[in-house]
Amino acid sequence: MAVNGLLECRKISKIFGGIEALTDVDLKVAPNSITGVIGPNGSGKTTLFNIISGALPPTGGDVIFKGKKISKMGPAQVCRLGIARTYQLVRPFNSLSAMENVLIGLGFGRAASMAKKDRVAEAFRILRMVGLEGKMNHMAGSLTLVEKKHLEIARALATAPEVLLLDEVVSGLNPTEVTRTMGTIQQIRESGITIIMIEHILKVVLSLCERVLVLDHGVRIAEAPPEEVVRDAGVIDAYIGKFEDEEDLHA
Amino acid sequence: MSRGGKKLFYSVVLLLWAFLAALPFLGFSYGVVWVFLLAVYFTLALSYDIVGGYLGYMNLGHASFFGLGAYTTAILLNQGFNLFSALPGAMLLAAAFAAVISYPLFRLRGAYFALATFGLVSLIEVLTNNLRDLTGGSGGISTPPGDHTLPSYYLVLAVAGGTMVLSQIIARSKFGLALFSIREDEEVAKAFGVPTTLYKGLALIISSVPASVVGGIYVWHMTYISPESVFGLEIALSPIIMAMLGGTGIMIGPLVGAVFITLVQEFLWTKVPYFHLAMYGTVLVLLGRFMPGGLVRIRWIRPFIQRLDLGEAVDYFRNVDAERMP
Repeated sequence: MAVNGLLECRKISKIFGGIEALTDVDLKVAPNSITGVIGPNGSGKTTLFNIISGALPPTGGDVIFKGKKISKMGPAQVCRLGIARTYQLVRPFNSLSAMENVLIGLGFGRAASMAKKDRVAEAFRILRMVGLEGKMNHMAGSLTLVEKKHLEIARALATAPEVLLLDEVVSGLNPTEVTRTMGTIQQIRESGITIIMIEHILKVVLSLCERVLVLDHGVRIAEAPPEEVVRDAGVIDAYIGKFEDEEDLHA
Repeated sequence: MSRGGKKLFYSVVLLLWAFLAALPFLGFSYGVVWVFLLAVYFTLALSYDIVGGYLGYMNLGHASFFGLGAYTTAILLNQGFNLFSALPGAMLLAAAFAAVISYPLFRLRGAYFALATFGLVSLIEVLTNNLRDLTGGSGGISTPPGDHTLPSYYLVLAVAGGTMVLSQIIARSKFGLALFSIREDEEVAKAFGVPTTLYKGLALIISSVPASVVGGIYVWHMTYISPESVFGLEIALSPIIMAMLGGTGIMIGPLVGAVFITLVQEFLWTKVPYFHLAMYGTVLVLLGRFMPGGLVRIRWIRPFIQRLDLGEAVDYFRNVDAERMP
């Protein structure tokens, strides 16, 4: 890549006990792009997210964000620098309202200096962006799964991130919801935020992402534009072939 | 939402306070002593709730702040200080103690935190029993005699009121919101930039202050305390039971719980001595099983509480008016 990446992973490896979850994974993310991360279950996708967001320290390698090494920082510090995430298994603050969930992101992320009044207005704007403005006073625990996933996106957006890590936000939704969520993701990118997304639905990855990183057993087996990735023999073998079998099964 | 409900609530509280302030002049001398103790327990329950309810860490060692406050005040009074210089001393010592213990204790969670804090009370009780030169040992400690019934009554009313205001201010602040988020999911809160270690420590320090002040007022009123009377099971557990029975994480919970338990206790220990002690344990077990939300969250009581606009822990952000949004 010609331009220096906004976010760069250099030879990231992670060992849990005797299991090597990630082995020398490299990744460069260009500013204002959407990068997909795909791979079979257990291939280390979420572990990679945990390392980028500071939730886990890497065993080896560095994460560089805007020229700064962030792999030694904790999650709070990484969040304040401008990297926010959602969780694959949704984890909203259940007994707080949707509005309050977003206000946590606003109050302690990069927008922390904002005045209280402006925070509520900004939270409302973000909730409207993900289509939750009608439920802002509802407890997060009472929302449906789709709404919880959108709330996770809203809470992450509230921290005013430069990079947004989306961990399977489209999985488990019905086709209408998928289309709507894809629109939201497109809209977020258009507002200037760089997105890295883990996704199992290949259709979503192919239509949204500019580049795709394919992991298999913790090893990077491809990193290319999606059209190339789907033609790569190794990728078909490790992931897509299996995926189409699954689709046949469901058909 | 119900702005009228909020007004109603505050006027009821103010009226109640006015009535309590007038109580000594209405000839209820037993009532004064009773309300004094009720206010002490209520303040303990409410300040416990900042850590127990808002932050979600069950601090069974809350009584240690009360006892420390009482002993510090007693010792300072005996040294010739007056009450108004002794109380800040008690406050500072309890706050410093809270700051010191917050670091090791908050590395624990759930039942482990509760057990460790519970051990703390016994530890300090043993210390007071053995540091004879300072505390008078198991014989207890007396303060300069005098009838302080009335002034201590008004003082404790003021402190209880102040704690209510403090509790409300926290619930509506960004700090309070952060405490709730830690209660819900500490790891996620941390990932979103909430300084969890700092805020947990601050919450413990803030909750220690009212407890130590009422401890000081208590000893001034009683003029005698023993380790058992300020670190015993009774004082350690009853405020927590009050908060949990009433409902944690919401200001009105400890109030309901304190009034309810003091009334039941009043009835029980005149009819069946010592039974109330056995009751605490039973109530605690049954609460966890059948009524984790406390009295104020029972389905048919909830609407009334909501009408008072104090329905959930924070209602400030919950009732954002969509009409007024840009």
